[in-house]
Amino acid sequence: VKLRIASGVVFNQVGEELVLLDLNRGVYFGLDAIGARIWQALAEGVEEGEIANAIAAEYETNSETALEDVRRLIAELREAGVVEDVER
Amino acid sequence: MPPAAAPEHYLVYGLALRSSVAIEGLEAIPFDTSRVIDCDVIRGEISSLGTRGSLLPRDPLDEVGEATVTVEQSRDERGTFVFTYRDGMRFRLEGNGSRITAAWDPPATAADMATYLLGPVLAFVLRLRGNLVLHASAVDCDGRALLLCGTSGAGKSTTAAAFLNSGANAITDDVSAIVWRGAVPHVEPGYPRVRLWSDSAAGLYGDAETLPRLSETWEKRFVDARGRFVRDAVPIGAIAVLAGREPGPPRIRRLSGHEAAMSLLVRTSAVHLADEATQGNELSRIATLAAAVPVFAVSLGDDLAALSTSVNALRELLP
Repeated sequence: VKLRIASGVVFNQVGEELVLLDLNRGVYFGLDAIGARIWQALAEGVEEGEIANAIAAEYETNSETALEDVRRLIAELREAGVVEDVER
Repeated sequence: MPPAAAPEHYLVYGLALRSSVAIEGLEAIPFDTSRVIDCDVIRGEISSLGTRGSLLPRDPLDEVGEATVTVEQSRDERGTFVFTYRDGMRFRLEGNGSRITAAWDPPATAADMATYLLGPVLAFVLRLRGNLVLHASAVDCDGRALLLCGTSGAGKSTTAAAFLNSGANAITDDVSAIVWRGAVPHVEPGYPRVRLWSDSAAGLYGDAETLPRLSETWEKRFVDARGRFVRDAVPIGAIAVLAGREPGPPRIRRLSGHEAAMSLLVRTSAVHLADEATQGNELSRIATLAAAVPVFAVSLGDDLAALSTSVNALRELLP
């Protein structure tokens, strides 16, 4: 599934971390360093498997665990309405 | 009609004011032809915009006394707003605050007007002009500013007053206008008063009566800091976000980048102005500020007598 940042969501890096603001609803979210890496990759259109591999390599964990983490965050972001599926 | 007096000139939060009414708490400065006037303040009649205006959402940080405010935005005149406080005080802003009309009737006084003007009204004007504004008091310790953020009752002003007692200088009370000089964030001076509720005044000075009242209509007092007031913007050394008071010694925790940004965003009420570009800009500035300056979550002890311990601990946060 390909995702994109929902319209009306702006974000800024703070050091290694990230804050995002959903302008439609006036809600803020914060992401830690790993969350910020995942977000930046999503913003560039990278798919979840590829993101998980990159995270696994960088943080020396196995790909399955990384994929679970990536999927969990994506589910939370999707539920929050700050990312959405790209129509195909 | 009394004869028209010459207008007074003031500097506050980096804004040059020209006012036909004396603004209590501010020190008049000599007229200087080279200084561009940012805001003209006059007293006049103001009516509600009615159907020509739309109501802005309530500012979650509206907390001046018991008063609540409604803010109307003109539909036909860009940059025109009318503030109506529950006690009847009104302000009309035109040209994004380049002209401010104030209206009040007895028992309200000019001192009451100044309290609103120097608080939420000018904070709003600063944001209309694109400044980043935090709901924070600030003190100067050896040329570095410590910002004290927090909601009403968190202890911003009480802590600021305790800092003054320990030799620090006052920068601003409640409204911190942030400016960048190069890459370094600075806070602009406000006015030389720290406002305290009577219980805090009594706790710090033994008897609330030792401090003058802010106005005849309010149970709030102020520390006159005219001898200990900075005149120029001060580089920000650290930001303390004050949470509730808890028994025991003060607890201080450095916030990570996103925690810092989020806790400061709450203090800007960035969503109060509908303009999306403004909100995006504020997010970007907050992120820059949170990356440039250490931000700490602070729980103060619940004992006013132990405030000097807190002051010493907070002073250690400055570089």
